Amino acid sequence: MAKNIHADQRFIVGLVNNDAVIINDIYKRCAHKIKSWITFNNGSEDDAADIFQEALMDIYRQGKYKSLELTCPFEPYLLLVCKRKWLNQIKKRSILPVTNSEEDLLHIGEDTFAQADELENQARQSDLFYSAFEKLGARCQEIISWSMKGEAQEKVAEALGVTYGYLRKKKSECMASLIKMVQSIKTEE
Amino acid sequence: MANEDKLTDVARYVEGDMEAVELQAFEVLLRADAGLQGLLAEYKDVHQTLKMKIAPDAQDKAVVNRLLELNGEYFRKDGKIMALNGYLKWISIAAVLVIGLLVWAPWSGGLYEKYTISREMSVAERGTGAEQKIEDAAALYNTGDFSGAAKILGPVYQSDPERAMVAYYYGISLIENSQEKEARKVLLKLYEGTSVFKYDALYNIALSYVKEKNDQEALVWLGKIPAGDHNYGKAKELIGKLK
Repeated sequence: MAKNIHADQRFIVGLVNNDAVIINDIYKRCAHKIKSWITFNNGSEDDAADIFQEALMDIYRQGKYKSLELTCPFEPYLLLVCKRKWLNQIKKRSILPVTNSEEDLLHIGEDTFAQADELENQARQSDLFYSAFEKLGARCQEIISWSMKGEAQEKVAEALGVTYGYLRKKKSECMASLIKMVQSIKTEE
Repeated sequence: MANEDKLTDVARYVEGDMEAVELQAFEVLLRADAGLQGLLAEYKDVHQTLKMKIAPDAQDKAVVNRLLELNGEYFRKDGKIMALNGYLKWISIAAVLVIGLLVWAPWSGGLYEKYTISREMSVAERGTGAEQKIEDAAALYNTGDFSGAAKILGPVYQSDPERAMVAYYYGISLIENSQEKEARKVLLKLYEGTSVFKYDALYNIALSYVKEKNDQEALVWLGKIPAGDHNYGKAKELIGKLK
């Protein structure tokens, strides 16, 4: 069944296009709410800024690289993502939250929870893939990093001091090793 | 075909390393093999997800920079709070009050001084956006050394005129250095753009005319400030005083 895209998809598009007006609008609508909520829950203004930026970058990446389609209103979605991020942070830092997290989120629709869950899931996947990447040999890591930067392969080969043919072959091998590593970590979990 | 061979083939297929004949054969196989299709989807997912983590492009960096600037605007308006104790704390508070009074100068009656905004230049302190030069300029700006700030901000602005935050504080520094005409060129460009400083730039263009005692031009520019803008109240009050 086709997804029912919410009109607030414009915020995702604006973020992906680095649209100054739309991004400023997001800050105008949501920044003070997050600032109040996080400072009320034992965080600082800097914590609030970090969480807000992190949440927006997560959404931006999903919009740009994974074609995120919003099926719920943007504002409660962003607020929920920020709140969850902060609740995770304070758990790590052993700080007690002031607000009862469940009570506080009662008025948010199911769609919003589902989309926030999906974003969290993507973030977990990203960490998993990165841990697999880190397990590769240094040369493979170097080749994959360079290749993903979108540079011309001839230039990458020159920078790494290898032939073009070797680079092409090695890149495919390294990527295959990476996927194998991902599969093996998934099996272990 | 073993899983490992399949993986290598998928990698070579996605990375464009297959010759025409091999490519055609692979695509035929792909249409019939659900497992291979799943592997291809997994490959693309890992590739895209990892790319956004380890190889951010120029646009990703531009978004981060924009967010850092906006964080400075929306989260750190009051600047950093430093932990001071006892006597030192009260001395500092007294000094801040004296400086504040000198800056505000309610007894001077000067409209420019009274209605000026953005007395503090906020700089995001983390990430690639917070370059040392800008931080140095901000330190000078925040102590009222606008001449020193302009000297640093000028070259930074020239090298990247699109950087709204730099343009804005450079413009104000120029006004403070009595280079109103130059300041207006910088601020006008900002006003014509779409940055968050758009209407603050407009307000400062008006103030630059107030400083030059050109009330007529000041009124024209103050009149352009939209009702929803946070400077609207001040602008309206100033219009009342200039008329």
